[in-house]
Amino acid sequence: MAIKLLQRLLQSMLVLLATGFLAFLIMSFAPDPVDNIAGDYATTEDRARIRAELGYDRPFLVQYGEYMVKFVQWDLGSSLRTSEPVAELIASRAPATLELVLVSTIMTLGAGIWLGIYTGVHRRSKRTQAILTSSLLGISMPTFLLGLLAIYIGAVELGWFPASGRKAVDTWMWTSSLVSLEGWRSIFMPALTLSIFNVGLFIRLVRADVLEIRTMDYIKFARARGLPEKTINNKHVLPNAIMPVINVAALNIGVMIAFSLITESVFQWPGLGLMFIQSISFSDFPVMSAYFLLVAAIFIGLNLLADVLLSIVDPRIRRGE
Amino acid sequence: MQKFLQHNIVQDYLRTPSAILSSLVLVAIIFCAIFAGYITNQNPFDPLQLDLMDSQIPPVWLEYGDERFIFGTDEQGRDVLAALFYGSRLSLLVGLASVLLSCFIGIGLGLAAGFFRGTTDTVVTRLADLQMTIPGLIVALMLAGVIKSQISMEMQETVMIYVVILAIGFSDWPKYARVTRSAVMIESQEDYVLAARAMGASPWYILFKHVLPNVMRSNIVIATVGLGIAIMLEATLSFLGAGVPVSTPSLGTLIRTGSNFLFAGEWWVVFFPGLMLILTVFSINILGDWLRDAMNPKLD
Repeated sequence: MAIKLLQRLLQSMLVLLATGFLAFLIMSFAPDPVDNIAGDYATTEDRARIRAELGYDRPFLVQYGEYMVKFVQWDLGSSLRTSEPVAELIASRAPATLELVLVSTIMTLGAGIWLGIYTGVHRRSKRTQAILTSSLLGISMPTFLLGLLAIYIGAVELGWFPASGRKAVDTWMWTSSLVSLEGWRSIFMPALTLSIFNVGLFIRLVRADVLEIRTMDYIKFARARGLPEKTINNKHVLPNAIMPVINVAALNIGVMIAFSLITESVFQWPGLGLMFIQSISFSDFPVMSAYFLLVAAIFIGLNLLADVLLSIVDPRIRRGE
Repeated sequence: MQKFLQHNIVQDYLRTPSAILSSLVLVAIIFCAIFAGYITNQNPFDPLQLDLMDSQIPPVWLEYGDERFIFGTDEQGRDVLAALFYGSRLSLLVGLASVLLSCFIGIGLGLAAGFFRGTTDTVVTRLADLQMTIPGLIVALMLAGVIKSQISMEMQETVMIYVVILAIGFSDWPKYARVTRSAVMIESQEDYVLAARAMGASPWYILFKHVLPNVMRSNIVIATVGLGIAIMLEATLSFLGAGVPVSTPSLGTLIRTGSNFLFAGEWWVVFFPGLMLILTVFSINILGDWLRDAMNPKLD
């Protein structure tokens, strides 16, 4: 068990090193910083001296190693546009994205589990067909269009929600939109938009689980014992159908963080995704590569966590069967 | 056997109304995109043909509508319907080209990995794994953004389309590589391959003559779904400003520029390109769903 875990950990580290190399490559596209510091009248010797002082004359691989060490120490350089340290930039933007993903995940799970169980239990009803067709439509709908639709209906026509931006209040740990009514109004539409794509996915997942569980022997026995259908669904089907979904949802958080950049761009939600989009349009390479590496690290970490948890829960995986 | 299979699929197709309907919609969209120059009365991207007097006209069934412009015009006097056809031409083109690129890279690497095994296999699998850790959207945005920063503004006008194709194509190949690799590994053990080998056929002959046709089935299904994803990805890139330039817009660019006028109540400039995009992707997805069931390949 310990050896397997160690192997898995080593594998993840290698993947992280490889993505770090890509991120470092991106950094090397940035304009030569020596030009900036030395100015127009610097001699070749001056330039060489500055280059040596900054450490840019060392071998490529040494510089890459330093980049990775700095990433682990959370020293991500500074933005080319605002000269703000990237680490601080990320720290100030992260709460917006994390809250968005959290609210959106809760919405997705609520709607997905409820509708998935409904469509699984009432297999052939008209309503089930309608739900399944609209879930396919939801998957075919680009997130940015959904966002625009939400803005048009919720903000322009009805005027219930603000069209863009984030209303947040300073709390003891971070600035939060979840403690005021204004904040909730501003987070509702972005979170809804982000969750719709996933709801379709979860409906299909839960439905497949429910259909499979309902053919199990213990459900037949429960039925033979004369339990009412409602008790069977609530006490026997529901708990067993939810377990695998929680696992997928945890893995899905990485996808949500990545895809939140579309939602954030539509609603001008000041999170990490909007920061990434802005850094692309301004060719702000340190910010770009830091975001890239950060998202990759989150993905790798979540995958590792899911594998470890699964091997703890399921003894077959632990024994390598 | 081949004929029988074809026959079966045709039979299945004729019995599935949703497949017939969605393929008809797709054919209509492709027709409009190809013949956009003949069925519209202006080329919306030729500034000489635009008249500012015709700007911001609502669709024909609303008050102040103009029967020359069925879906209305935008702020530059551009016919929304014509822009729609020209835009979907670009969207379809970019989508198709990038799926072909993904297929080419993915199937090629998958064949190599499955057939030669050993080091080739390890390298390809590791590369695919590496890329799967990062979502395609971010890979494509990153590639498009980095290349865009390295070329001049004038070059962007002409080159960005190819950059977007490259970015989307490169972001989606691991799927094809994985399926092809596992299919090749299974097929290589089949009797007909062993027989061909016993008869002294060269590895290349076996690979292209015997193995390739048999792994195409699963790839066609993935490519259909992949086309929908690629069109959506292109629209997203263009909407986010990392896609094709405004002078030769795709559906995504049209929605991006139109969304600035949403608050002024000019919903039609966004609505119709959006509807076109959804209709295209939805039809492709329905067709893909049906194709998967009909061909029933062993997808993992």
